[in-house]
Amino acid sequence: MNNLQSTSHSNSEVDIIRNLTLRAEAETIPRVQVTARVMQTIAAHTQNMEMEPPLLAFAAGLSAASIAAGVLLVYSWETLNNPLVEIFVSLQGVMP
Amino acid sequence: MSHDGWSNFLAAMAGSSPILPVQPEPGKARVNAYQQRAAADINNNDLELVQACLQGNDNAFAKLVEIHQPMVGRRMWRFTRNRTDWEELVHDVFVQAYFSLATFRGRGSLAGWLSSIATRVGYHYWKEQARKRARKHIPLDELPECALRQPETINADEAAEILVRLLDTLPPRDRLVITLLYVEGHSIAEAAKLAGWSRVMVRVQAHRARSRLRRQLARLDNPRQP
Repeated sequence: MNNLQSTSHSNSEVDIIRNLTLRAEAETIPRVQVTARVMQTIAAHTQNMEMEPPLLAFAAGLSAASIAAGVLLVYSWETLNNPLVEIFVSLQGVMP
Repeated sequence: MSHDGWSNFLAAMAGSSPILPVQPEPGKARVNAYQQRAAADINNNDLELVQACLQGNDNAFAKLVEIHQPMVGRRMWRFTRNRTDWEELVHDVFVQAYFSLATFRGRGSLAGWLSSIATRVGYHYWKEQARKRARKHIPLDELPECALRQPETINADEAAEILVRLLDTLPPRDRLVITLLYVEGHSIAEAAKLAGWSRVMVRVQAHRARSRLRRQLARLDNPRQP
């Protein structure tokens, strides 16, 4: 056992821990069986992760379309209110 | 092979104690070779299963769980005696292992890698429990003093229970370093690797933990002492 050893002060607290540990080595530890639960949890996580990409793609597409529509809307609104547009429209019949 | 050699090897494989470095004695060099070959076979088997799992074979991971859950179970039993929490911790260790399996490089044993994950899961559990508790520590004077000083007067299960209760009086960080160094018998380097700390931090923390434990034991001897 390669432990930290200190000679500069009393080791009684370490001795207590070590003695209890030695005594406790033969304790009865219950058996654990978590295989089925672990595999269920992993399957559930994996299924959630598989569903995410299509949803993300949909969300990404929707937001891109919204941005494009927004830009067009703003542009259209500005052209409607811009007086210069009226002049150009009126000049369309005059210019070759 | 001597009885002691096989006992040490089998106990280590069962996870009851770490594999101790064996100094080869005259005529016993073959013991080390057998142990090393058996350990290498186990490691190769684990590596094959890990590779199969990374290629999408989930049955391989189920086999790994079956192989290593006794060791992990034994390890997590040090972190809690509550059966429900204990099974939850063992479950969490393997789920974390599955999702970080790609980070296992195969340089050390899979058991060692799982031990690192188990240590961090257990430490996180202690911190959560400390946060939930109304008072930070359980007073040491609630523990039977004669059992602390003379553990030979009690049986193994009682000794284990008292050890857990004694360590439960410490804050999580102190408890972890005491557990790694003096209960599990790891070196400073091994403890640092398991806890994810630096070696300096392990030394400093060990010194503080021992001082705290010493003060508490002194209060047990002298209840009037603050």
